[in-house]
Order: sequence, then C-alpha cells, then structure tokens
Amino acid sequence: MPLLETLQHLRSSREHAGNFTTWRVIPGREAEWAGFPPWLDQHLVRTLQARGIDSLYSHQAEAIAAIHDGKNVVVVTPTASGKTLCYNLPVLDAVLKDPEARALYLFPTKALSQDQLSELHGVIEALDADIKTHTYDGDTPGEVRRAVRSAGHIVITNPDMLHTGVLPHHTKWVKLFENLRYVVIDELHNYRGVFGSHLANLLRRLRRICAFYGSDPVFICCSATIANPQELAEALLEQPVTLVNRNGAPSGDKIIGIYNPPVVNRQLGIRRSSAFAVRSIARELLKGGAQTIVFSASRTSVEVLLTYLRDAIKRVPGEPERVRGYRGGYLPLERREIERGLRDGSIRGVVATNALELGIDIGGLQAAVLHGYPGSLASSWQQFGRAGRRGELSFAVMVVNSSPLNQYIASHPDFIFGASPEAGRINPDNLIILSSHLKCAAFELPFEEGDRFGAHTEELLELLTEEEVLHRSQGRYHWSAESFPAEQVSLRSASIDNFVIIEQVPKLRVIGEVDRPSAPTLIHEEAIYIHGGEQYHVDRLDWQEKKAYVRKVDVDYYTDANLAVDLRVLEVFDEGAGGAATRYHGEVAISYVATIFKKIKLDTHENVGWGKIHLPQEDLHTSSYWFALPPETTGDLAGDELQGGLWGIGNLLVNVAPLFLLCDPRDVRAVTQVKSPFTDQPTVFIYDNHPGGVGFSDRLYDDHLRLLGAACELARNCLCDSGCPSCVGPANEVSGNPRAAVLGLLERVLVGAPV
Amino acid sequence: MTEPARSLREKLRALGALPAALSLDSATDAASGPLTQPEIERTPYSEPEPLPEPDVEAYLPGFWQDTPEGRIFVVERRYELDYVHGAIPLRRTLDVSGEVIARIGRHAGLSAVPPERVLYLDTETTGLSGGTGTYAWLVGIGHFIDGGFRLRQYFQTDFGQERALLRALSDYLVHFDAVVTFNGKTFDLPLLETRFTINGMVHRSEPQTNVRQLPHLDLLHPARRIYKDRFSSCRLGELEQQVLGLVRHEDVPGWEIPALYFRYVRNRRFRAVLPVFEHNALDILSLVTLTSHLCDFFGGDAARSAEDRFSLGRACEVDSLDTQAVANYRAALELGLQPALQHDCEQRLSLLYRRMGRWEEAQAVWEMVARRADNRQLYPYIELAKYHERISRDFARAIQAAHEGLALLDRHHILYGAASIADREEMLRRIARLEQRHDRASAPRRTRSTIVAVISP
Repeated sequence: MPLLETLQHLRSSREHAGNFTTWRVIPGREAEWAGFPPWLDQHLVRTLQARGIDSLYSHQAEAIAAIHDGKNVVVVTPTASGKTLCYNLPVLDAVLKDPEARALYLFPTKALSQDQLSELHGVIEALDADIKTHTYDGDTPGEVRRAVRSAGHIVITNPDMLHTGVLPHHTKWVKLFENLRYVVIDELHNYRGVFGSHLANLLRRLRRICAFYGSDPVFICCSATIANPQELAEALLEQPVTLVNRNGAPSGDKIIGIYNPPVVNRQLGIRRSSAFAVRSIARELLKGGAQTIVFSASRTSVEVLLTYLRDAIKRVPGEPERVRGYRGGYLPLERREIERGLRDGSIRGVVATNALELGIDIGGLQAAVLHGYPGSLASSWQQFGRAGRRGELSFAVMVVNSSPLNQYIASHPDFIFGASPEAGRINPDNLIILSSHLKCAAFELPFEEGDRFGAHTEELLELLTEEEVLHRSQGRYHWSAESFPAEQVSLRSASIDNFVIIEQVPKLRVIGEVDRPSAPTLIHEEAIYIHGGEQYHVDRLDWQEKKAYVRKVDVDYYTDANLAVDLRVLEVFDEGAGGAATRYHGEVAISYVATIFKKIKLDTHENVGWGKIHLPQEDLHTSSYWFALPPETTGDLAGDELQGGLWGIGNLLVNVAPLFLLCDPRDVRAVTQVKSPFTDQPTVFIYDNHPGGVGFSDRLYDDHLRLLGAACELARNCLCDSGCPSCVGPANEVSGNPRAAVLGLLERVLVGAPV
Repeated sequence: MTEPARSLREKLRALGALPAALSLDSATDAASGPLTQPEIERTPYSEPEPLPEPDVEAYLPGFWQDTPEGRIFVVERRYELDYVHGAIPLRRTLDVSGEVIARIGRHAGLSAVPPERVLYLDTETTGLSGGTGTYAWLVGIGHFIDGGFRLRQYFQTDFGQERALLRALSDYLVHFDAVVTFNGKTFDLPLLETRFTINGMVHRSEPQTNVRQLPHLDLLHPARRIYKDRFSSCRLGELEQQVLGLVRHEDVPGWEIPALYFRYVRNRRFRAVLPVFEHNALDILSLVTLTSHLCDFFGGDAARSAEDRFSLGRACEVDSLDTQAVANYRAALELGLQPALQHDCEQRLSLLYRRMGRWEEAQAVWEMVARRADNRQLYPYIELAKYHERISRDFARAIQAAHEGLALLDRHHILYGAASIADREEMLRRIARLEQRHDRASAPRRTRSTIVAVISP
C-alpha cells in the first residue's frame, strides 16, 4: 500500500482521527549543486565520481572553501545531508598532498567512532592510498595503540580518551601534534552545560600542546539545529568560527504529525497511555508496508514494543526477523547487521533508543514514530530526519505523553516548526571545571609566567602553588604532586567527587555514577534509581565511601525526594526589570538536606507510600536566576495560597526551562521564598544544579519573559481543574487552587510586557 | 544584602575545588619536622628570592657540573671490583658471557657489547603514574671503568634544572652501547624519553637522547621467568633478599620518594632526600649483581636446587631450548621436588617429550605416573589413550587407558566435584569412539576386498 493511503487511513480512522493535534506537510526541495573546487586533489575527485558523487551540495562546497581558507567552521544542516563529506574531503585532500599531515576526529560515543571508521575505510580503499586511520579508545588493543600513535593519519577518538589517554601522554604522539592540520568535532550540540564546559577546557589543553609542537589546527564542527550554533562553537573554541547553514541537500515531501492521546480522567489530568498509541500507529504503518523506525526512551520499552510489533508483521518461516530492536547493549556485529538490513530493505521495522538518532548510516526510512518528546528540539529533528528519501513522501509523528513539556509541545506546534529557541550554553570559566583542567594542563606542560588559560590564570597558578600542587622554579610552574590529575576529573560531571552505583547481583558491577549534589535525592536508601531505562532499588548507601548498592527491580512506582533547602544570595551579576517583577542573575549558596521521599505510581502519579531519609546536610555554591514579585502582582494571595502559587511556578519553570536550554530537567532546580531575606518580596529562584554553574542561569535571565510566557501558556491550556503533574504539579500537595494562583501571579507579572 | 566580596581562594574552597594540603606527614624525616602548617595568609611570591643551592656536598661526594642549560650536582662514587654487594662481588659481572646476556635479554645486539660499555640505570621520580607530569629528579647510572665500578647520580636540584640534568646525562650517555635496568622497559626509559621530548632535546644528531634505541636488558623479565611462582613478588627488594643475599637496613620505601622530593624543593633541606641517594645506589649495585646471578643461573652454574632446575627448565622451554629444558627437568626430578612441583614438572617433561617426538620417554613418564598408587592426575590416561590411538595404533591399550581414567574420575568423584562431570563425559565419548574404531579395525574388510577383486584384472 502506498504510504499516502496508509496515512489517509490513519488520519480518518475512528481510533486516531481526533488525536492528531498537528498535521503539517513540509514540501520537498531540489538539491542545490556546486562543482568540486579546482584545488581538490584530482585523484580524490575521480574516486568520488566513481562512487557516484558527481558534484557537491552547495553547503558542502561552502564549508570546504572556508576550511581551505584556514577558517574554523560549524556546519548546521539536517540529518543525512552529507555532513561527513564536509570534513572528510579537506582531511583526505590534505593527507594525499602531504603524507605527514594528521587529523583528529572527536565523536561523543564509541559507536559513532566505529561508524565513521568504516565509512572512512570505504573511501580510503577506493582511493587505494596509504592513509592510515583507526579508532583510539578504551576498546583499542595495545599493539594497535602503538601503531596508531606513531603512524595514524586520522585518529578517531572521544573527548574522554583525549582527556585521560592522549593529552597527558603527548610525548607518545609527537607525530600527530607536530602535524595536526584538522580537528573534527561532530555532534557539537552535545557539548553544552557541564560536558561542554569541560570540552572547552579540553580544547584549551589541546591547543596548548599543539602550540608546543608547532601546529595550529583548523577546527571543523558539525551540529544539529539549535538556536546558537555559531555562538556555542565560538564559546567552545574561543576562536572565530564561520557558520555554514544553507542546506543544499534535496528532500522529498514530508508530513509531520503530533499526536496527543485522549484524556481519560480530567480531574487528575490523566491521558491514555502514549505507548498504546505508538504501538497502534507503528502497526498500521508496518502493515501498510512502510519501512518504519520507532524511537523510545528506555531499553525496556524498546523490548516491549518490539515484542508487540513482531506480532503485527509476521516473520516468514526460514527468514530472519523483519522487525528488530536497536539499543545500547547490542553487540557491534549485531548492530552492523541491523544497519545493513535497514539499508537494503530486508528489515522493515526497527525499535530504537536514541542510539540511532546520531549519524549512523541506515539510509532513509519511510516513517518515524517518536514515543514522547525526546527532551530537545535538536533530538526531535534528528529523529524526524530518520524518515525521508529523495523524491518520496515520508512521515514522522511524535506521540506525546502527559508530562508538562510534552503537553506544551502538543499545544504549541510552532515551537516545533519555528526557529529553535534552544541554546547550548557553557561556562568554561566555572571555577571547579577550570581549576581541574588547569591542573591537567600543568601536568602536561609546565606553565610559564604570563601564560593564559581561561580566567584568573595567574591567580589560580599562585593558589595551586600555595596548595603545593604546583611548584614554581625559574618562572615556571611545574606539576609537583604524585597524582595523575586527569583521572580525577570526569568530563560528564562538574563536581569533583561522584558516587558510584554498584549492582550486586548477578555479579558486582558499576552501572553508573551520580554527582554529589544529586546523590541525596537520587540514591538515598530505598530510592528507585533509573538507569538506562532499568529500575534499580537502592539497598544501601555508603555516604563515606560514596557508594550506592542497588539491585534491579521491576516496580510500578518511582520515588521523589523532598529537600529542605536554604538559599542565600552571595553576589549579584545582573539586575533588571522583567515585566512587573524584578529579575536577577547571580551567585548563591544553597544548603539542603533530604528529608523524606514519596513513592509515586508511574501512570497515575498517585502517592503510594513514603519514608524518611537520613543524610547529612550538603552545600552547593552555584549560579542562579531569580525574580521577585512586588505587592501589585500578588493581589490578594497570601499565606499558604501564595506559597502554593510560588511552588507551582517553580515546578513549571523547571519543566519549561529545557525549551530554552539544551539541558535536562534535572540540570536546574527551583527554590521559592514567600519573603526572601534578599529581596524582601516573594521570590522564585531557578538555580543551576551544578557547583559553580555551567551557564544556564544567565540564559534564563535573558529569556525571563519568554520563559514566564511559556509557563503561563502551559498552565492556562491544561485541562485539569486546579493543578496536575502535567502543569503546575499535583494540586493535592498544597492548599487552595495552585493552578489559579500561578495563573494570577504570572498574568500580573506579564501584564503589559512585550511577548 | 549580599555578602562581602570573596577572594578566589574562598570561592574555590566553598566549591570544594581546592584540594586538601598534600599529606606529607607520613613521610619520615624527623629533622625537618611536619610540613603542613596551620593555615596562614601567605603573600603570593611574585618576585621570589633566588633559592640557595642545596648543600649537597656537605653530605655526599661529587661535583657541580655546569652545562649550557644550567648547573646540577653529580654524586660520584667508586667501588672496587672486590666490593661485595649482598653475597656477590661486583667482579663476577665482568665474567658473564655476552651470549648468555643476549639470551636472557632476548636481544642479539647485547652479545657483542664489551662489559665497560654497559650502563646500569635507575631513576627516582616524582610519581609512579607515568605521563608527562612525572619527573625523573635523580638519575643513577653505573658502569665498570679503570678496574673498578663508577656510580654517578645526576640530581635535579630544582624543577628548573631539568634541562641541565638531561644535558649532562645525554653528554655522558654517548659512552655506552647497552643499558641494564629493572623494569626500565615500561618505566624508566619511556620516562626519560618523555623528559627529553618535553624539553625539545630529541635530536637525530644525538641518538643517545632517544634512550630507548639502545640494546636493553630489562632484568625484570628474565627474573620473572624463573621466579614468578616461587616468590611472593618479583620486586627488586624481594629478589635481593631471596637470591642476592642483601638485606637493606633503614631503607626508604619507594612510595615515599616523591613526597620527600616535594618536601625538599619547598624547604630546601637536602637532608630530606639524602636517604634516596643511598636507596638508588643500592638499586644500581643490585642491578649489577642480579645480572651476574641471572647469567649464572641461565648459564647453569647458579641453579643448584631442584626448584632452581625446574625454573630453569621452564625458562629454557620458553626460549625453545628443548634439550636443555629436558636436562633441567630431569635434574630437578632427580634432586627431588616437593609433590606439587614434582607433578607439574613430570607433566611438563612428558608433554615436552611428546612435542619433541620422543614417544618412548613420554610414554614411560605417563605409565609411571598412572601406576603410582596415590595418583590423582587424569592427564596420563588421556595422553596414553591418545598415544595408543594415533601413534602405536593399539586400540585395545587405548581403551584400557581411557577406562582407567574413567575409573579414576569415579573413584575421586567427591574430590573433583562438578569439575569432573565434563571430564567424565569427554572420557565416555572417547571410549565410545575408540571402541568404534577398534571394531572397524578388527572387522573383516569384506566389501572393499570384493570391489578390489572386481577391478583387478
């Protein structure tokens, strides 16, 4: 059945018709072509032509020209628009012309590195040239490592390996650093917040080593669509970066739908299960013959959906399964086989986690079904982009769940289709992150007086000298401690000490880490800790040793811990009007102690039990955005009702913040004060949940009105009576009508404010 | 309402980003007292007083050496050839054969190097983790010269003197054609190479700065080959006690050395690091006597006990010196090993015989072990069954051996527990196969002879 017929059937069926809140056709576009530049190695051009690439897309030509001029670039174009060629061409050209030339590729994951390796191998084989390329990561065997270090032209690795395995041992990589021409950073939008702040410092270290060996590489970055790719790239590189974002790749017509399951309990704001709708839609698509990818958040739900969909499209006896799963934990060979099956069409359906969202080559499918908002617009478009073939109709649908963010998207399709408001923010001069990397850098090469490394270099060097980590001799600061500093710094976390999470059965293994500020609420005893979509019960937490012992469980509730929080303002960076409120941005000290936890049922959000938490008080110094509500905005709200309103605003803002920031809802937290000792007024603080702050709060300060506007919209459009988990939070937790209180407060703040 | 402006230090402390002061309290140096002082506001020393040169010469013999890169102190001592280190005189090392050195170092280039062009090297460093932030602050080298043994220790009086140290060292390295270390392959030599590289001192015209290109005998590896299972570790200290007859008194433990140096560079009291010089000198002398011990051992003279001969046999086997391995295993068995080692040795000897095609001798060992009243080892039965199946083609005896093995398994079922189940199943399969082959071999070949008759004219 042609896809169009399946879609018509889907849209007119009694089961689904009313639930598509958005159904938008995005017309296809023709390719914009550009010739190969004359300077490009002719052998390379002929090889590409033999592989069916007769000319370049305009964005590829534009990127290559800028790179050839020695400019750093960031390429921002959709999935499957030929981004890899933008960096592989200049790199291969350079190595063909000068066999000494070297390039370093950074991918956020090992799987992507492997994919890139096989793609490069294909081209190099066709070129029949002596270009050596290999991955260098935790999986690389010892003998191969030596060869890669001395002879690898293109070294493919990840930031963590660069951090602990390459830079601290740079004397083993003399060839690479003496001749480094290009550094490729793919999936740039991944490097925001903590990870991005670390990467910026890692690049400072990399450039320092390059300068030592006399090289000055050009950086080639690729990013998914975000609000500020150039700004993010320049913040990460601390150099000017040229933006290439005029896509020249062709596409077919595409229909994008948003599907909101119907409400089944209005008081509690409960909707029918989104998983059920996903199953039903995917089944229709598969039965209609459309090659379909289903994205789901967790490993468990991938397996559940897989079982169901396999029933929908029966396997031909003697032939392999036609619907497959794809997620972390599958073996590399199995993944390769699935990718091949998708490309050649023998596999008709795949249920995947976001592991398939990134640039792994599976060709274009006909339909994509997203189970819930994947957390960011950038991810949404990468997942939508998995459906689409040249000159053919494709279909992508997002089935939203009942969380506030999902509901906001269902009622605001322009959020999806307009210009992305999501900005990637970093704070490379976060004191913890900066000083950690300053130590690593001093370990790698002594600092000399007058050297620069981010902010406060001289002062920090003196401090570290006084702390006897460095020793000054003849104007140079030498590493003078026994430790290996890179091993003490995790790029994925801002705090210095992490808690490790240990599964005890079937065998002892570390399944993950949690940073210190999150530990009291995430891994207190009896908590349900969710990791990779699996539920784990925390049996014991050893606070001294920073270890949590867990065991895998399958329960129908999650836990939510209450924090008693005390917040003090230390310093104000910015202050200004924001509607009828006053907004601030600055540094705060927070003391918090986890008090109790609640067990909350997964589907209905009912409270099904509670317990006490016995943990010591913790302190967090970080940056925060806050706003104070003057008397004219509070109206006749007072006491508990005012408190409930502030509480609701806090909940809303934490959930809405990811619309403006590339962050996880756990990256920011709210504190509300009915009469703040700092402002003397009712005040809502949204603070950065990482010590020292990683750049979220200044963005929220800048976007104050839009943030409050989105929160107000969300509360207004909710179908519940007085508050539910889909908007301001469950009404039964505070007195009065929190939803009405929130709306009253926000509307009075926003009155007369430009939207 | 905000709090008073805070210094960077206070902010870092509040964030938990400043480490606790290095704990040097555990380092033993009563003279200089504890280093961690109560926290006082120290003024940043932007223009530091030039620190005085340490009074090394008050404690150690040697001289200040000027290089274009600066000045360092070189400790120099001379030992007579009759000097006895532990239980072995240094002289013994002059007598070892180049051939044996080449064999234990697995480097043909070592055989032709005259003894006085061999350098014994050991470094003391600021850490054991490796990487570019680890410095070699004391490089000890020794060599035979003018009828004696000269020990030199190049001492980096401060971090800023590293280039001077490397310059002086590389100037001296030109006199040598081979280097002997203990664990230098993974530690000392890559570290020195890193230091030369970081200081931009690796030049084609000065191959000695690429220390890893010299033929190298790393004593750790031959020592490990023979002592791995016998001593609790193969660290130099353990070998000194076990085979060199050396017991160190009041020696500074290796793990304390980095902290002692950090203490010295900060307070300039040379006495803090004095014990390290003694430690390093002993290490180098031990390299010399360990070389002669290992060469004697591999050359056959020092291996006297049954355990020695067994170890040597295994080392020979690894080096594919099969005949010598056989001789050593047999000598070990004749001298008498304790039962566990004896069983291991018999098995190795028999399997070596098998590999060499010396079937009769192999069979003799298997028969002997299998007939022993208290034997609990399965391998002789399996080997005998295979031997009779494939070599002697005596299926009846093969079946008999397999049945004896099965009986052993059943007799000691309780001892072997679950492990015996797989063995038992395999043995049953073997018996079944042997019986099948036996039947086929003994059955009259009627069919085939009929065909032959038809084809034949």
